[in-house]
This record gives sequence, C-alpha cells and structure tokens, in this order.
Amino acid sequence: MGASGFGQRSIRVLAFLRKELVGVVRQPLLVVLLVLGPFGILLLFGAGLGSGAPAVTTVVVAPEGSAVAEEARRYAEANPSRLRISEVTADLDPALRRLRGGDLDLVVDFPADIDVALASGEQPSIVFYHDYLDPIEADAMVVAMRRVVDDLNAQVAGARVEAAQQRAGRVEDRVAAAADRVGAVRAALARGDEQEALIQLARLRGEVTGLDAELGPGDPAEALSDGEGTAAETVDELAEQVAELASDAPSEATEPLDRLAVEIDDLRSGLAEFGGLAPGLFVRPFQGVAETVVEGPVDLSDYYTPAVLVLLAQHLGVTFLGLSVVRDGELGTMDLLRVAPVSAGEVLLGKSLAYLLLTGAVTAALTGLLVAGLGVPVRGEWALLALTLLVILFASTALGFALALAARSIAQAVAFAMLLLLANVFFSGFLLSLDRYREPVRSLPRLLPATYGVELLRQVMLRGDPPSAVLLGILTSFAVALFALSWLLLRRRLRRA
Amino acid sequence: MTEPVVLTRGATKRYGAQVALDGLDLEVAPGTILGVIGPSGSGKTTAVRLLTGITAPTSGEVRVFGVDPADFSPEQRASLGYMPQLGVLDPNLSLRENLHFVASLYGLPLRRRRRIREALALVEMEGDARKLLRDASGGMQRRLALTAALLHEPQLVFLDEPTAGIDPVLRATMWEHFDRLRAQGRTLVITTQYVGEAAYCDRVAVVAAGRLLALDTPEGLRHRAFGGELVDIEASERLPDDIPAVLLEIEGVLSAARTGTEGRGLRLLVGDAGAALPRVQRRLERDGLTVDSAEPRVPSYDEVFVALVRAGERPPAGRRVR
Repeated sequence: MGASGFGQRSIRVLAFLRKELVGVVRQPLLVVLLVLGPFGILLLFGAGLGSGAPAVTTVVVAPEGSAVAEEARRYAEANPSRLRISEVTADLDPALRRLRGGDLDLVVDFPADIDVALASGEQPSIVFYHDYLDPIEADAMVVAMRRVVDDLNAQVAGARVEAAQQRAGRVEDRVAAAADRVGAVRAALARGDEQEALIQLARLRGEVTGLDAELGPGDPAEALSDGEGTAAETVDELAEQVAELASDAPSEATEPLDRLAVEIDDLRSGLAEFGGLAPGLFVRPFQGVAETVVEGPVDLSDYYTPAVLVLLAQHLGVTFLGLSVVRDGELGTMDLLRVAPVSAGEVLLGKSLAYLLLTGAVTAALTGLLVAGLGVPVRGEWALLALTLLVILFASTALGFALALAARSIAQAVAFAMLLLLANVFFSGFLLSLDRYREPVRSLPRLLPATYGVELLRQVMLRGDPPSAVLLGILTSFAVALFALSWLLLRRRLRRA
Repeated sequence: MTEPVVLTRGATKRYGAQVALDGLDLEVAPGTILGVIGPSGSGKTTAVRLLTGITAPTSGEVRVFGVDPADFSPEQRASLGYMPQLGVLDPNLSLRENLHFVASLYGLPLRRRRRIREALALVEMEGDARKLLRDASGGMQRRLALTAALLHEPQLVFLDEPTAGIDPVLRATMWEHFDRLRAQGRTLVITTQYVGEAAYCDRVAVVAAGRLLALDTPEGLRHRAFGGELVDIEASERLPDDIPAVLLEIEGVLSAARTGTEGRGLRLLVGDAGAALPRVQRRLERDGLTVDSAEPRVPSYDEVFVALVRAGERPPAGRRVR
C-alpha cells in the first residue's frame, strides 16, 4: 500500500473530512443561508422590535360627567402611546362585550361617587378588565395598571396637598398678625399697661381661633402639631396662661410669653416649610433609580445574540451529523465501512472534524456579521470568545453524533433535532431565566449543553467577564462523554448484524 | 489440494421466522470465478453479506481466508473488494471524488491520481470524472461502484449483481475484465440474475428460495440439469409410435420423447452424446428409417436454470418416457 499504519489512519480520517466538507460546500446556497439567515432574522428582530410597550385600546367606564372621567382622559392624553382611550362611557356591559369581541384591549371601570367613598373612609376599587391570553402580556398589563392606579392616587393626593398649601398661605398672614400681637402684649407688659396687654391678648386669641377654623380638622397642616393638639390649640393655651398671669403676676407672664413667641415662630416656619415643598414630595417622597453594573447598554438583540449563536451551532451540529450518519445507513455506505479496514474511531474523528470545521466557519462568519453589522458587543477578550465558541462547537458536534447514531431514519434524525431545539428554546435560558422554573424541572436545563453555552457566551460577550472555568469544564466533560458514547454506538453499528 | 479462499458449511441466515439462506455449502478455490445465480430474493445478497462479514450467520460455519469474517484483520479487510447490490457511493460527490474516498478507506497513498484516471478509463468514464454521481446514469453508477471495488487491487472480490442494468455490450466488456482479474490470480464471487453469465464462471452456484440447488462447472450444470446430454433427431418420414420405447433399449439412452407435429422428430437424453448417437443412428437405419439430422442440443443456461429449479422443487426421478 505504501503508507504506514498511522499514515493510513490519517488518510482514512481525511477521507471522511473531505467527503463531508465537499458534500456541504457543494451546496453554496445552504452555506449562505446558514450565515445570512440567522443574521437577517436578528437584524429584523432588532430593527422591528418597538422600544416601548404596544398601545392599549381602552374604554373608560365612569359616571356621566364625573370628574374622574376627565381625570382619566387627562391621564390618557399625558400617556398617548400606551393608553389609547377610544371612549368614555357610563355602561360597563357593552364595553365588556366589545372587550370579549376583540375590539378592545382594556376596560377601566371607575366606581361612582369616589369623593363620597373617600370621605367615608372607604377605599374604592378601580377595576381593569383585559382579554390577554398571553400570560406574560397579562402580567405586564397588571403591572402597568398598578402603576396607573399609583399615578391616579398620587394625582388625587397631590391635588389635596396643593389645596392645603394654598390654605396654608392664607393662614400665614394670620400667624404673622398673631406674632405682631405677641409683640404688642410684650410691649404693653413692659410698660405696665396690663389693660392693653389683655386687649392684645384677646385679639391674639381671636387670630388663633380664626387660624384653627382656617386649618380645619384633618388638614395636612396637622403634621405641624406636636402630637398633643394642633399648633393653634397650643398657641391658644399659652395665650390663656399669659392672660391669667398678666393680671395676677405680670412679671411671671414673661416666661409663657416667650414660649408663646417661640410657638408662633415655629408655626410660621412650619407653614412656610409646608408651603414651600412640592406637593409631589408629600405623595411620593421617594423615587426609584435603577443603575446597572453591567458595562454598557444591552438591548434585546444584544441579549439574544449569544443564545442564538449557541442554538445555531448546536442545531447545525445535530442536523448535519444526523443527516450524514443516517444517510450513510440508508445509502448503504455503512456496509461499505463494515467491509473496509475502517475503525469506528476513524469515522468518528473524520466526520467530527468536518462538522467542527463547518459549524466553526459558519459561527465565526455569523459572529463577525453580528458584531460588525448589528453592533452586538464583545466586551470580553476575543481569544476567550474563540475558546468558548470552540468548546460549545465541540459539545454540539458530540451531541449531534450521539443523537445521529440513536436515530434510525432521516425522519427520526429531524425529529430529534427539532425536539432538542425546542428543549433548548425553553430550558437553556434562551427565552426565560432558569430561576423561573420550579424543581425538579429547574434541574432539567443542567442536562442541556446549550444551557452552559448560553451562560458562557453571555459572560464573555455581554458582561466582559472571562468564561467560567467550571462551566467550560462541565461543557467539555459533556463533549467527552458524548463522544465516548458515540464511539461505542458506532463501533456496535459497524459490527456484524 | 489448494486451500479454498471461501468455505461455508451449513451456513444459515434467518430473519425472525424467515429463512434467507438455508444450509449453504460452498467452496471457492483461489484464482477462480464463482457465479452465484438465482432469481431475485433467492438469497444471493445474503450469501455475499455473510461472506463479507456484514452479517453473521444464524448457524453454520463461514470461513474466508481461513477465518471467520467477524475476526478479519485490517490486512484481510484490505484484501477484500466489495461491490454492493445497491449504490453506496455519495451522490453529492463527483465520480473522481467518490473513487478518492473509497481509495482512502483502503489507505491508498494520496498520490493516486494516475491510478484513478486509469481506473476510470478502464470503464470508459475518464471524460466524466467531474460529473456528480447523482447526475450519472444508472449504468455509469454501476460501473463506478465496480471500479471502486477493484481500485485497491483486492485478492478476493465480492460483486453483488455488477451487471444488473448494464447493456449487453458493456456486460461483455465487464466479464472480459473479470476474466483478466482471474488470470492475475484473483478470486471473484459474482452474483447475477443473468443466467447466461454462468458461462463465464469457473463454477456456478444456483440458489433459489435460500437453498443451494447446484454447485458445479457450467458444463456440469447442463448435465446435471437434465441428467445427461440432449440429442435432437429429425427423420425423413414419420417415425413409428413405439420408437421411443425401442430406442430406450439402446445403452446410454436415458429417455426419449417425440417432438414436432409431423411425428418426424425425437429428443433423446443420453449419458454421453458422442457414444450414444452412432448407436441410435445405426438402430434407426436398421429399422429402415432415414435420419435427416442427429445433433447434440446445447440447452441455454436459461433452460438449465429452469430445469434445476424445477428439479429442486420435486424429488429426483428415474428414467422416463414421454
């Protein structure tokens, strides 16, 4: 023969490598589709996906001419892209029929007599009827509606605070007058004019009584009280003490008079502080600010790209190898291999190398296109990205071989590839976070090599971290175990039937 | 005596309740061509699959190169050539690429372009080297499969219906090539449905319904099929009615039957035509009968095959008169 044992083995391995590569490369349309197809889909995905949530066609059900209906309209006008109010009506049933008929997305039912209910201490409910079948959309709607209710609550509370501030402004004038009266009392007492002092004190109490009436019960200005009564009541009590002392022991009236002055000053500054605050601070003292520690922004197409690369690599490996191995069986090539001096290891190595190279080239081309064309970030080192992709491709090829040898027909191979793709879509972290699953299903994704691949690529591409050595080790172990299994299956198949 | 290259003893293959091959006994001497002839589904391909080690026998013994095919060494495998009944080459590769692939399976050195060119030229397909197999005609695909089986110059070649679907001229060319291979000392086991191709073989195995009906030289098969040689006699006048019984008294005449519509013809089955024919002619002339012609009749292999198959379906008969 001429070639040595090692040389002959190498020649046989190369034979499979060449045969498989030529077979695929001879279909240039297929190769182009494999690269441009996923790129085009991601391009359309990134370009076509709206930045906000879709508009919600809504009917508001509220009592005819009620303020709340106007309030809802104003809210809708302020958020035109999200809540599109098509009608305000007083009849709930026709609106619900339209909702069930698919004409509407949402019906908001406001209760009648909200002010009466609030005044009587009730918490009236606003009911949101929706017709979303998609649980994720329905959840999103519930969250959005909670926010709407929060906004409405804030608007109502803010309006009340604003009214109170306006009243507080008027009260301030009376408090200023009261302060003047205290000064006049102090001056009268200093002169020993008890009569004048009592007159001023009576006027002071008149101002305070007016103040109390102005503020009224349940007013936000009660926040300025010391917890034992309103500020006006305190002022009134002190004024009464001063009045009593002014006639009996004028010299002792100085101390409560000072306290009275301090109390009125406190009331003035409190009112000034209350009036100077924005109403929003009372109803929403805090605002939430989200800051990410992830380097740079991650949009949806960026987020899905690593998973698409992993799924594509795996699907290519499974499909190509599946079809190749099953076709060998159906064409009778397996009989040729049974007779020829070919070992299972040589077949396995040759075919694996071919598809490793093929999927590697497709994945590299696609990655380049996604990075250059769509601006998908690679925040980690390119060498580490290449290493991660290599391990993913290695595992995908091993999985493809094992499944191909388990399949007995092309239909079975296609079914296996489709089932695996479906499992990966749901359980690899492609669509949903793995934390959303309950045990024992939560452990299922750990049996899928793609799960590790998706996590590793997100680490390298989006987080800019080096790939986890543990995950790389698990993925490599998967690959080695699957190749060993494939070798055993292939050896058995090459033996006599 | 030369050790047979192929030897089977009671080789039987069952697939469930179905018996594909029943007690096959074969011996193939080196440097000979064994033709395996039988109708479709007779067990020819099963026999080849047993001999190449693709399938294991359910019972019985199979020895090739003196070993069980399950225990073939890589060197012994490299000495085998195998052309399956159905195309096993890759339709997406060109004719030349397919040959390169098979050559690589057998570890032929990478410098083999000339050998492949010559192999293609031998089957008159040199100009089609770049053509994809899927674009080649059925005949071209069979020729390529044959070339692939012989490319590594195996010592023992199993060809499963290599001439199926090939035109008669090319079939003759292919048999000439097989003859040359035999002359080079190679051993060939060739299955075929074309009964006439038995003439090219050194020995022929006739199989039907999984059973070996006969294993002999082509001439031996003819003899075996009818139990002797056939002689056709044409007299110038109508023969007497009792003439068959009269001729049966002659030594070496095994059976006699009238032929033709005018009563002038006779067909005799004799042990040896050369010895029996002069005696028959003398006896007819003694009875005043003039013989216009008396010639040994060489039955076609189709007739031989039909006779063997029918004989295989019923118990052996003694001397008969019709």
